[in-house]
Amino acid sequence: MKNAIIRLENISKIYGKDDYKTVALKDINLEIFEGDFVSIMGPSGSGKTTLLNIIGFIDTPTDGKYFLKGQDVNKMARGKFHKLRGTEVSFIFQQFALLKDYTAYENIQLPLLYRKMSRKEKKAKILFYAEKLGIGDILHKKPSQLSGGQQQRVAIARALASEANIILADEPTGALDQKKGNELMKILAGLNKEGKTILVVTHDPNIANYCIRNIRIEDGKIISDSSSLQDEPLKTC
Amino acid sequence: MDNQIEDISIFCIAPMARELYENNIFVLTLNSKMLYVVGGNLSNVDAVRRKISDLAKEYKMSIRQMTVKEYNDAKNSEYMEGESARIFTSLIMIILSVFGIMSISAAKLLSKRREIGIRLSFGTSKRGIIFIFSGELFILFVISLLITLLIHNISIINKSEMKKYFYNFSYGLNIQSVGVLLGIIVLIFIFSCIVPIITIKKFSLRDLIGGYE
Repeated sequence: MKNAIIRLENISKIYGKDDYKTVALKDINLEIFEGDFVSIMGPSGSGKTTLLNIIGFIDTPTDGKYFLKGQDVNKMARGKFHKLRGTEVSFIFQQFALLKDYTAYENIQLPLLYRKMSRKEKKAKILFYAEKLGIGDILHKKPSQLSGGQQQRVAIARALASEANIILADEPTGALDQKKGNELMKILAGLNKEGKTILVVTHDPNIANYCIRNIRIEDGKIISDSSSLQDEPLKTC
Repeated sequence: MDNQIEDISIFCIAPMARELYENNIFVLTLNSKMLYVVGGNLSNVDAVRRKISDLAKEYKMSIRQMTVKEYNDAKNSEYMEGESARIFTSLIMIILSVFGIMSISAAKLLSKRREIGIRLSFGTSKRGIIFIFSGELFILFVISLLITLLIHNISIINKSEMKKYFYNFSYGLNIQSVGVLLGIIVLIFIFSCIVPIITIKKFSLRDLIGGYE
């Protein structure tokens, strides 16, 4: 039996006050299990990114409870959230979110900057993930010298370098063409097979098809949460 | 004119130096408008007074007679007035510097919003961001300071009078000057960092990540 690594209970998120109030999420109940490969789909403004942000400690819910590995996150000091972002969850953003003035190597190093490990260990880790993603020869280049596909691979290597078990991807293929987008999803499917829990926010059904479990969200509510008929992703690497 | 006045005082004092000394009288010619006569019992040296008075008339100078204490008090007061002016000017300069550095840091902070968001989302704490930001600001600050000192030293290289009031490398290391300088640097830096630190503390990660580079 799989363990619920993430459990959300009646999570709500409201932005603004009084007349300017916007309900982004309303009474969300959700369990994410270890090794899940989940797509969160929905139209623009449906609350999918807000949900991902709450799961990833980028945002906090207005109401409800969030348990991570059985621990109530609300009871943790907000000042400790950065540690969770560095160790428990990692991100892949739509526009890659690479630091433009730093090389690919330095970008991948970002989650390791404040880890207690030697420079040699850090280097070995960076090279390992760079080789794994086929970007070992471009580590000295800056993002502006890389193609979109290469930049996204650097972003994935950075997410992996933190060695967080949960990877959160917000529209990871949004800035890529279909071919590159499919390549990226195959990489994520491969990582899921290795045991990573992956949540992908997308509005593209083709991308969602790579995931084992599909959640649909509209107007801040989960309207469907269905596991795919197959245990394996429909398209794998 | 200054030379002439100096000559006058020498001329005036030299023939009666001993008598003047015994009576605790000093004639100080400081500027073209005022002739200071400092002494204890001037009644014994009426001749000197007359001579000085005549000379002062000749050179259209006013005479002020005072005791050594009065003279010292007057000089101290004069010095303090000058010192106050210097302190006031320095404070204005420090306040302007703080505002200048605050503006630079605010601009730098705005241009780095996205980077800060990315760093925060990969586990860097806000304290860590403040540390990185302050470090960068400090380097910028020290470079600006060194350039300023260099320009200043070049500009007063031959103005020995000014060197009395400013720290000058050619004077060698004076612990007090260096201490005051370091104190001022630290104060300016601390004040300059207050606004950026408050801004970073208030940053919302969601807003920082929301924009794209």
